[in-house]
Amino acid sequence: MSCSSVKRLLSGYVDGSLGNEERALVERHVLSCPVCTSDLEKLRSTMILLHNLKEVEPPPWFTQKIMAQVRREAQARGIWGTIRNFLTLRIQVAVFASICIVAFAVIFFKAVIPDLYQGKNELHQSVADSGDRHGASREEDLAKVSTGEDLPQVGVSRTRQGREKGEKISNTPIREPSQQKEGSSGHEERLAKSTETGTAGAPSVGPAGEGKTEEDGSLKSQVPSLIEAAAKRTPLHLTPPISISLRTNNLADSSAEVDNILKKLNANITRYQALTDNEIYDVEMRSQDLTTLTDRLKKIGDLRTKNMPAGLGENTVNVTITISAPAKRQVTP
Amino acid sequence: MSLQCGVESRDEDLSIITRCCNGDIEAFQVLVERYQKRMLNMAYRVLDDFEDACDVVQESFISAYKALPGFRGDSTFSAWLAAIVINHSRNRLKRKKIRARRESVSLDAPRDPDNESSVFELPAENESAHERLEKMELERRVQHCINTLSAEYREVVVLRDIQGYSYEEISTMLRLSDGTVKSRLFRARDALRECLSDVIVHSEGSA
Repeated sequence: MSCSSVKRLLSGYVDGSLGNEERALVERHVLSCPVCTSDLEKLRSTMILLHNLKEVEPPPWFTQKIMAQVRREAQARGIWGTIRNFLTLRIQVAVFASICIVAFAVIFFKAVIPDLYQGKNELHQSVADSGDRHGASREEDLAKVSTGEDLPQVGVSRTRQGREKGEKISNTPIREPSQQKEGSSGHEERLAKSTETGTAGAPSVGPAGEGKTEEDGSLKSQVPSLIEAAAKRTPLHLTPPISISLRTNNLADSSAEVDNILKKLNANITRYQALTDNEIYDVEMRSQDLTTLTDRLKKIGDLRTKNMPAGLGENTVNVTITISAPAKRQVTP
Repeated sequence: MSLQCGVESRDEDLSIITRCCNGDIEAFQVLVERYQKRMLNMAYRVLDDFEDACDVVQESFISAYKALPGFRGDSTFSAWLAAIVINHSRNRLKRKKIRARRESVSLDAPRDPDNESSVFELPAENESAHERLEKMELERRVQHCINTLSAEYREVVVLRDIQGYSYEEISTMLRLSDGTVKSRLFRARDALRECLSDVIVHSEGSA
């Protein structure tokens, strides 16, 4: 065994904390190594010096001083001590500060909230009274909401161009002009593309299903006079969109036929939405073609219309066509 | 209000602790008288200052009294109390070093031996003045060498070689593994041996 290894064991050897084997190794090595023997003796002497250090004596008052503090501590743990501790300055300050903060918050909100209410009332009043105003006013914005104009429409907004085979669906505003009459892709592609991009994340003008008037109704209930005022002065093509619901037996075939019909009528599909049991087309078309459209759609399935204009005129109208078919039931063997 | 604790009475210390927990404050005095000297010497050897050692031990006993409900009897009360003393000593030592650094005072500056001569035990009857002086000088030298150790080495040397605690107790007190304690002890003893080499040679030569 080397001297460096033995040296590491000397401390434990002197302590008596080595195992039998290690102790024997050290003793054997020390017998033949004067350097390690000398180190061992020096280590022993060091420890003897440490052991022989004189002890200091505690002062005579030591115990009493400690016990006095212990008794004070015990007293402080009593009930009055608990209250006294609770009422220490630090806690008092913290409690006082908390009360001040709460009081200030109450006063502040009482002062501010009435102003907020007042401001809101004034806003409603100005909206209700501004029936004759033109320009970018809140009522016009609301009217546009009802007709679907000038709102940031994010989602599946497909133009005819976008329905070409292999093209991506682009998120375009509803009023993006796109009058191209290029051929449409297959029905399966439309479904695939719509699945990829998902449905709209922004408020859409066209409803997901039937009930366009329900949306109008809800708007009307909020601002009754505004819609009527907007309807009086806005052109026909900005009136609430016309809704056509078509119920068929085969969604895919019907959708393809509708596609074909719209193409022949030069209608501009501004938005297309494919759901599980129905498909929704938002279309811009000539009002004079409405009759032809409904006649042809009647041949496909059960047709229902809403907001059809009394007189057709020669305008551009927004039409929402919803094609629905009953959901296919999976037959389990 | 009494301290509540769940300690089974296994030996005398534990029975006293139980009495303390049940409201007998004066029973704590027995523990103070039993362990104050040992704790004071431990603190004194770590801090090398009698006044500081007295303060530390007083603080430690108060801390121990407050913490009595938490004493479960896993170690002896002596070892448990020693751990508290070591912690307080460590903190006091840190504060002293910071203060000394600020004031640019050396902690190893020569001390006035007259102030400390009275704290030691009375000399043996057969001891001459010369012998006493030599012993005092030797002890000062040993303490000086202990002071040269860093805090972690100083603690293990004081606990093991001066106070005689076992490796297991020291491991528990300092929250170190057995191997770490032994390793630190080896280095501390080696450093002391080096520091005291001329004294040891002189002693061996004169013997």
